[in-house]
Amino acid sequence: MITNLVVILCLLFARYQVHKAEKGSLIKVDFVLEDTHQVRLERLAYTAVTYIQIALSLSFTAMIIGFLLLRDSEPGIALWSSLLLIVSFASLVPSEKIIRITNPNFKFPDPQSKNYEQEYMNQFDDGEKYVMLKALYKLYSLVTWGLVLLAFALMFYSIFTDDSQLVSIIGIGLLILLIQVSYTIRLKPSKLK
Amino acid sequence: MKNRLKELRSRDGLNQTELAKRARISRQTVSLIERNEYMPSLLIAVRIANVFQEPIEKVFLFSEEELS
Repeated sequence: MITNLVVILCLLFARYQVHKAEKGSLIKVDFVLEDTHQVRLERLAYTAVTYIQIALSLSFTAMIIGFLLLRDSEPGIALWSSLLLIVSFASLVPSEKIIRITNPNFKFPDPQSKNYEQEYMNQFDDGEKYVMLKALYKLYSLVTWGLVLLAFALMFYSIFTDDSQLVSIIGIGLLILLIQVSYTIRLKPSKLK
Repeated sequence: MKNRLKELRSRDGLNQTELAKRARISRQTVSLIERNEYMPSLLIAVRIANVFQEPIEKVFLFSEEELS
């Protein structure tokens, strides 16, 4: 229940940030202050996305745990979490005004396009791609180490509590395998023609 | 590699947002290049040089060591 309330608060806060950014984008500022104003708008937009991501993750976890533990006693909580998950997911769809702030040259590719992902990536310039690459590399290391530590923690938990977490440990192992192998396969140079 | 983006922006009375618009890149990219955190691709470097109407080597400065 508390998690659902936190999710609602996050979504409201994100909506408020989006509103502030949209309102701010309509204000004409002096040339000297334009960069500072633009950075402020970009930061507002990214703060909003961060809060939506928090809401999305929390509602997803709450839905799973709610369904697991409370589906018979209090099904309403799991249902609310599911609804909030849908709302959070829908909130991720960026408004055109926000995109115009963070990525002025961005054009959404045709969703029917076979090369949608490639066309989507092409909308970002090289500098933005560089920032994304740096962030993704950090994330890759974080996820790998996070999974390794989690597997160890689950191993000790299983030993000391006699509550076997074998399935979770196998799942984590498979995930590590998938992440590492798919990453190195993508780095492998293609054959010379 | 050093660059003269800040100096040339101030010469031409451009802020980062305006330079980004003219070079058809994002403001974040201009900021990254200015702070020497990112070396631009040839295409972006040429576009920026064109905005300032300067040859590319007058905007982006390489040391002898980097070029040898």
